[in-house]
Amino acid sequence: MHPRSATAWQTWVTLVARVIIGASLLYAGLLKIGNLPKSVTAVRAYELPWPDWMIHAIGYSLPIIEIVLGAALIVGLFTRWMAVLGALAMIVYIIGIASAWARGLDIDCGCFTPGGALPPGQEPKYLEDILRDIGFLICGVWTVLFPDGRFSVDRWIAGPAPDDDPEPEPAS
Amino acid sequence: MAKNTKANNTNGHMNRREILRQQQAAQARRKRTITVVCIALAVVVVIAAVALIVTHVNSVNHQKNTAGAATAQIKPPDLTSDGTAIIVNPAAKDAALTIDVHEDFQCPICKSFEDTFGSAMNQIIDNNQALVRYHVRSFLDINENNDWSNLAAQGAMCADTVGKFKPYHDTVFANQPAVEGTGYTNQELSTTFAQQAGITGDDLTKFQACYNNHQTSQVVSTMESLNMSAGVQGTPAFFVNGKSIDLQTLAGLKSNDAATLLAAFQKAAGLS
Repeated sequence: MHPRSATAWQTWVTLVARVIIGASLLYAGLLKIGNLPKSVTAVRAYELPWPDWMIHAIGYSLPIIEIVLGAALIVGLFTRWMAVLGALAMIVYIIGIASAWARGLDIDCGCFTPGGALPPGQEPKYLEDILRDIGFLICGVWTVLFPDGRFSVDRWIAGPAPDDDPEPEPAS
Repeated sequence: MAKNTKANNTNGHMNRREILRQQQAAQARRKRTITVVCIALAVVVVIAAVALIVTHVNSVNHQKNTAGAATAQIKPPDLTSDGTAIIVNPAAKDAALTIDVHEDFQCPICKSFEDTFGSAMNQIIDNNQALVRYHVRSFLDINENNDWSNLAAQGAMCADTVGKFKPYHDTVFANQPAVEGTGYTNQELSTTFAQQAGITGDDLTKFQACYNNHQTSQVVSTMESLNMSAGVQGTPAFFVNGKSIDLQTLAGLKSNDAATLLAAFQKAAGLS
């Protein structure tokens, strides 16, 4: 399937889907990038049975990965592959939140906030977090299926589309 | 490629021209791809570098603000042998009940607890109805991006060296700013709060030397890391004879007097 085989309305939907998941990733990453140790604390609050160096590696790299994926999706660069990674990230987040919920941890997911352990008396909002991430996941999957969208760097790289070809159709 | 089909239907002359045109287009695409990839990589490297530099500078500043010069460290007299807490009433060492309180001086809910149950706690402590240990935490510095939890904790440890841990602790919470993250000032922690806690004369001089030279910085950072490793990640947290007691349970009490609070602790500990 040539990417350009998408119909016009699909390319508009892709633009919207791509920008929604991209902006959410970019925003989440920017919130955390200024304070990486806080990001480590947020990861640690999930009480994963992994060694500390791994928690640190995740805490430090996640905001950077989110910013890169988010920015690439917004401008439409390597859209399909970035959407694959973005959708995978959402799946990982959903699993993480669901597991924290199942284990009865009282944490803030750390998605769009500093995260970490919640003070007592504040109820975690796991369901809302998961539903929101499922929404982003749907945007990501759409973008994987129909990566060609309006106003994308990918389109600029690909050059003028055959449909836009100024050469007239040769007469047969 | 689907693109070819249009041209393939025509004669060979068209085909060669078309192929040449496509080769040029492909070359242009490659060039554009390389340009974009280079720009993207440069952006990624810059973002990562800036983030790591900011992180490093913050950690260096935190170190500088909280550790000070290489001065002799002081061990607070009421520090538990494992270094995780301050015992506020050592005389109660034979009490059937032990209460462990984890608090961070920048934690607003801790202040709510202190405002509500502070005087009841002091009665339980003064009557030696329970051995009470305060685990002074400082992890909120990471969230607030400042050093005030750590510095207030240092002040509390220094206050213990002049026997005024609990009054100093109560004073800090009573003066906690309404807006979380505002923090304290060195003037407050080194002088105002100390005086309000009843530290005067020679004791004040001794306290201020301890605070200003960060002579309890190691006790504070060790206390935080030991308690964090022990799995207590949030404040306030309460344990009665080792069993966790929910803040909800305390918030639901009908009265905030000492008898009610003590009964709740005893019940949670399985003593009644």
